Amino acid sequence: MEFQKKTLLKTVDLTKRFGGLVVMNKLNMQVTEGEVHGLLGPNGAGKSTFFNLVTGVLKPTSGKIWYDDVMDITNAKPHKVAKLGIGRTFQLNPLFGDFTVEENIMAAQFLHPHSTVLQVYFNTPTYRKNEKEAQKSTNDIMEMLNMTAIKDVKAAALPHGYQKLLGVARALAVKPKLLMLDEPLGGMNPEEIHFTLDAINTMNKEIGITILIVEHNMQVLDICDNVTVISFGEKIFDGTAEEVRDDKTVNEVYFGGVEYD
Amino acid sequence: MKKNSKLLSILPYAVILVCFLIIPTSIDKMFWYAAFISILAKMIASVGLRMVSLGGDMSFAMGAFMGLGAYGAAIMVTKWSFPFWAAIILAAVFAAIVAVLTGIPFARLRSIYYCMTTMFLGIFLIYIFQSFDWTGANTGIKQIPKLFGGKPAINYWYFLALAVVCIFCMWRFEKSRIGNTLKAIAQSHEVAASMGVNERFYRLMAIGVAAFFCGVAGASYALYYGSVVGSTYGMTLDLWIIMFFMVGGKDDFFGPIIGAALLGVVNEGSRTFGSYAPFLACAVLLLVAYLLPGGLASIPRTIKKAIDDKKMKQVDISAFSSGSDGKEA
Repeated sequence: MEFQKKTLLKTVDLTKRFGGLVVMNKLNMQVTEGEVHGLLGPNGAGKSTFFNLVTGVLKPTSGKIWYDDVMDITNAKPHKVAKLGIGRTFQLNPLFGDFTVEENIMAAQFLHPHSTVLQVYFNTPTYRKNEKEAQKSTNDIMEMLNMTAIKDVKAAALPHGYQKLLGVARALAVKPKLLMLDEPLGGMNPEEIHFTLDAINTMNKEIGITILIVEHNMQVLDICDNVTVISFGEKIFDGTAEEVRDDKTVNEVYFGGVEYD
Repeated sequence: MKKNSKLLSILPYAVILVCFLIIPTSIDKMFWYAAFISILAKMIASVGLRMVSLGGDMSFAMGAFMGLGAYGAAIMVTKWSFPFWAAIILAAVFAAIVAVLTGIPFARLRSIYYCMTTMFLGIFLIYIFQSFDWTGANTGIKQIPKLFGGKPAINYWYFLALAVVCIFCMWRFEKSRIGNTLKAIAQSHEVAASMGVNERFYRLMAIGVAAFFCGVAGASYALYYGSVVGSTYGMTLDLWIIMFFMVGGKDDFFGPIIGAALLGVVNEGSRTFGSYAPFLACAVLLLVAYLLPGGLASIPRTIKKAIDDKKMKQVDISAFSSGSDGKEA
């Protein structure tokens, strides 16, 4: 069964330098279709840089990024990457603050279904059909993430946990094959963490979205299939979620090599 | 209820339209026809500026785009003897093309930096107009055959109809998904890109649409006036357009319309003050900036918020007193 699965995302010797600073050094990693893949690492390890490289916000100094086995997306523009089916959230979670929750998700239904500018301007039947479809899918997303009750609240007025969740909802509206979550649990309280992890699990198991998740919080290990740990731009561990807890190098990087009995 | 709120949102537009229908015709003076035609042309450009501002940009080149339309139409009519309607449309398309082509390098920048490049463009285009014999150099192009034989009344009705059509077209642009996408880009361009929005394409489109309607206004104005001089379309015109936009309110579609109408009338009405006239407009600008940062169009919103706040206070007090009652009991 395992060998039939495609590699959805693969980086080969991915390197990024800002001047003399090497942020990412020859990183090789791959994300298999259908899994929840954790990308862990201490502060400044290069996790967010990795996200920005994959989504085209930054251009790598050298190395290649392959998507869906055959597609080279090394130098693709951000909107092209989104079109290919890579959705993402942001660590600092910029939102459309003036829009309500519903409008935020509606605005994100830009590609699927997509109407051309002329269709929109002249309000053609295709456009109206697409808008209806977008509204329905927006309602579905809000229902899944339990946001229907707050749909008319302005995004800027939401509590932090919901803002993070809205980021996820918006990324979901892109209908991604690969969803990249940048610290989705940052600043959440225990209930919110519990709920978000559940939601991520649902997205993975029921809708079948492959998820790449960057996080500090070790609770994500509960839902991860595979884990890559990086430190100062270098890969120090690659394996399953169970193995990572016992790995010596990882423990050293995170806890300074202190032994706990 | 929903129908009521829709009617209420149309009401300000209707009031302005009625004012424009009644005032110049009842004050039977040539001067006011001319003044209102100039106001209407600037109003179209000011609403065009709003289209650019939807994507989070500000432009100092709106006057220059009007100039492109004006010069284009003037040359087409005088030198190539095009019919009026063709000259106006082609000149507007020409303005839009120039706006998009210059926008391709400029739109790599954002906010204030983009604004600075448009200022450069505005000044540069005026120099171009004034530098070639072909465009009449410093004296401009004179003796253009006038639109509708130069009769003020018919011209005024033409400009009013033109403004209604242009503003309606731009209203459609803003209220559709395109406008929403531009607003999303203004709030966070990186998120917009992560949703698959080609940010530069959308911003360029907004600039192109704005320049097209500026071109229509400029071309019509040149053909009405019968002559074009480069300096008319310089920084002063840009400042007026931006002032209309700011005084009216930058957060509402109605803003530039009410701004152009009121500030335009103040400006034209104070012509008798001679060179002191701009001071009056500046006083209005300062007053609005100080008292109503959201502009004139935000007055209903400000009042509603004040009432809501008052209600909120009452609720708070009652909640507090019932709470203390509860404690006592």
